Amino acid sequence: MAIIGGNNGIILTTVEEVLSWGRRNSLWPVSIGLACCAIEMMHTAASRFDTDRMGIIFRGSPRQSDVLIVAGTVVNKVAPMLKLIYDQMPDPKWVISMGGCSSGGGPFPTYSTLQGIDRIIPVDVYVPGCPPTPQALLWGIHQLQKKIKAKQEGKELKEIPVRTPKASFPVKG
Amino acid sequence: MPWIKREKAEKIKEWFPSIKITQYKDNIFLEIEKKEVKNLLKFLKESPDYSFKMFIDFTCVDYPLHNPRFQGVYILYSPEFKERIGVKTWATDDSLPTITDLWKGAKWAEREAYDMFGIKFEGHENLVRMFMWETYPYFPLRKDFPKEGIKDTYLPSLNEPEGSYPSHDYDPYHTAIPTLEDLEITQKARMPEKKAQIVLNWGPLHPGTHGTIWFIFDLEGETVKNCEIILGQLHRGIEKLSEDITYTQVIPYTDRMDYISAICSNVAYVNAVEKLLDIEVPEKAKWIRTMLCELQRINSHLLWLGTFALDLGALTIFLYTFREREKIMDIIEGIAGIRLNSTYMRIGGVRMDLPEGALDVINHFIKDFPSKIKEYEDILTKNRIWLKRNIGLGIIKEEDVYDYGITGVVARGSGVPYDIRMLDPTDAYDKVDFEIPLGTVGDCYDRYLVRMEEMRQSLEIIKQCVKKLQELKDDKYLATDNPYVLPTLEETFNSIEAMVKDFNLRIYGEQAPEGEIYSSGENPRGELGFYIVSKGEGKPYRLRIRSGAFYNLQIFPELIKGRTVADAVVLLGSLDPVVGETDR
Repeated sequence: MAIIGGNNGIILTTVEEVLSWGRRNSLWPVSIGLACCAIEMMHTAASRFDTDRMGIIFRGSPRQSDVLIVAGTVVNKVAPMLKLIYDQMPDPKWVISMGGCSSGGGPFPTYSTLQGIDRIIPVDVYVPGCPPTPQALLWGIHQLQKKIKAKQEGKELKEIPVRTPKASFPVKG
Repeated sequence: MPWIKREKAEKIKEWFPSIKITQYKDNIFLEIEKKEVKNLLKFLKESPDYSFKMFIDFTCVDYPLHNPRFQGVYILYSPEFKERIGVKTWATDDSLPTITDLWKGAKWAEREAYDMFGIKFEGHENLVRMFMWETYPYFPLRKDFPKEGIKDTYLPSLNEPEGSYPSHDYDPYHTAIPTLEDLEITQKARMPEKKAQIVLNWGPLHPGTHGTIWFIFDLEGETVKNCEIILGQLHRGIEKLSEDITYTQVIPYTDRMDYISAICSNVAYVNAVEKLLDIEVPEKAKWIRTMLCELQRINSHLLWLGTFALDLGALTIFLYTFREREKIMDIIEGIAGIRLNSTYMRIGGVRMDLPEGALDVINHFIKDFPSKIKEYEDILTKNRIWLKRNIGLGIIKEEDVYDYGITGVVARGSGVPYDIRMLDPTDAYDKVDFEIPLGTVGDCYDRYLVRMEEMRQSLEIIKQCVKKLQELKDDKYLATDNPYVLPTLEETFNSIEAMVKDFNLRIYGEQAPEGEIYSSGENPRGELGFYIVSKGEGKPYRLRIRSGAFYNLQIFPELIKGRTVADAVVLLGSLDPVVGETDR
C-alpha cells in the first residue's frame, strides 16, 4: 500500500490487498457453542473484552460467516453435523480450534469423543487451554489475522512465537 | 439428607419378607428379587407410612462375574418424612420391569440404562438409545468395553501432510463416527410417526438451545403437537472415565460437567467422597467452600439471566450481567487460579489458602452487587413484554415435581421446598442463616423471581461467611493429618513422610473401604448426586452422576404441547439446562 503526494487523498494498492485487509478486519464467526469453551467465547464477545471493536460479530447462520470457532468438546455424534456446518460456509473460510478438547481430545480419551477436530475439518489456528481465557482466544484471532495477511503476501505464516519457560523451582513457604 | 431409620426399614419386612437390608454409614438399601421389585416400589410410593413419592434416580451397576450380571438401583425420597431410601434388584435375563407407569421421570433413566448397559425394560413405551446414535453397536458402560472404544476407522489428521512423520504423537485410527444417515435413523426412531403437518428440527447446533440439545417438534401450523428431545451431543463418557482414575483425579471432570457452576459440582463430589472415606474437614475449609459455592451460584444465575433475556430479545441485560460475571470470575481467579473450571476443592479441604485481600474484594462486591440486581429488576420485572412472554407459560404442578424428580429452582418455583442446603446441610450451611424463596404458580415468571431472590439470599450467606473467615485467619485449610488427604505442596517438598504419602496417594489412590454411598449437593441447576460404589480399590468401581438438569429437562415435551415454537425458547431458558451435565 502506498500513499501518494502527502495529503492528496490518493492511495495506490492492489485488489488482493484490499480484499485481505477487509477480510481480516471483519471476521464473522458462527455462533456455535459446544461446551465449557463456549462460555469463555461468550465472555470474549461480551462487555469486557468486546470483540465488536475488532469487527468480529457473531452470526447465527453459517452462510453469513467466514470463521468457525470450534469452542468445546466435539463428540462423535456431533462431528458429522459440524462438518455439515463447515461445508455450508462460503469460501474463504477459516477454523479456529479453541481449547484442548477440540484440538486433540483434551482430558476425554473416551469411546465417544472425537480426538481432535482436525480429523474432520482443516484447522488454521489452535488455541491451547482448558478452557482458554478470553485473552487467549483474542490471541488466536490475532494469529489468524496475521495468517490471512501472510497468505496475501504469498508467504506461509510459519513462526508462531513460543516463549521458552524459565527454570522452575519448588515453592517454599 | 437423613435416610430412613433402620427400625422403620425393618418394618417393611412384614409385607415383603424376602427383602435384605444393607447399610453403609446411614445409607439404607433394600435388596429384593426382580419379580417383587415393582410391588415394593408401588408399596413405598403409596403407603401412607412411607410415602416415597419423589423419584430421585435410577441406575445400574455391572458385576461381570455375578449371575445375573446387572444390578438396578432405585433411589427415592419422601417429601412428607424428609428421608431417602434405596432399592436394589438383580436384572435376571438382562431385563427389568419398567417403572414409567409409577414415575414418569424414570423414562429417560431407563433409556440411559439401556443405552449404556443393554438392559431391556419390559413395557417401556419406546426403548431407544439415550446418548449414542441408534446404529451404535456397543454398550459402553459394561465392564468389558474398553474406555477408549474400539478404534476401527482410519481417520488421520487433515493438518498433517501425507507421508510425513506426524508432528505430534497420535493414532490415525479412531472410533467410528456416525454418518448423517445414522443420525436420520436416530431421529426416526425417536419420533416414529408424524401426527401433524410438519416435523421441525431445532438444534443441535443452534444458539438458542443452550448448548447442543436436539429438539424435534411436530407442528400443526405454529402450534407444537408433539415434541421429543435427543440428548448425547455432548456425551463424553465421564462415568466410564472415572472408573479408571483415582478419587482425586475425578475432581477436574466434575468441573467440566456443569461448567457454569464448577465449584458447586466440586463440592458435591468431594462431600460424597469424604462421606465414603470418613474425613472431617477443617472449619476454615468449610466456610471457604460455602462462600465460593454461593459466589458461583450468583455467577451461574447471572449467566442464566443474561442468556434468558438474550433469548427474549433483551440484549442489554446480557451485557450487564456479563459485566458482573467478569467481577466474580476475577475473584475466583484470584482465589483458585483459574477462571472457569477452577478445580479448587480437594478431598479434605481446599487446594490453597485464601490469598491476601481476597475478603476485601468480596466485601466490596457485596456492597456493590445489590444495586446491580435492582438495575436488572428495574428493566425486567414489570416490563410488559417480559410479563406477557413469561406469565402462565410452562406451569409445573406439585405432583409433576415428584413424578419427574424435578429439583432445584424449578421445583422451588412450583412451591416445593426441596433444597439440599436446608434438608441435608453439608459444609457450613447449618451455621448460616438464609431463606428459601418459593414460587406460587410454577410458571416461567415464578422461576425468574425465585432465581432473582436466590441471588440476594446467596449474598446474605457470603456476608456471614466473610465475617466468620476474618476470625479464622490462620487456621488449617486442608485436613492433612488424615491418611486419605493429599499433603500440600509445601509439605511435600519439605518432609520425606509427606512426600511418600503424596506418592502413594497419587499412584495407588485413596484405598476406600468397601461400600456404597449416595450423596448430593444443591447445584444451581438442581440436585447433583453422586452414587459411588467402592470395592476397596483406589478408584471408584462405579460412579453414577445424578444430574439435576437431566431430570428437569424431561418435563419439557409435556409443557410445550399446545404452545408455539416461540414459547419453546422461553421455556427452555427458564428450565436452564446445561448440556455438559445432562449428557455427562
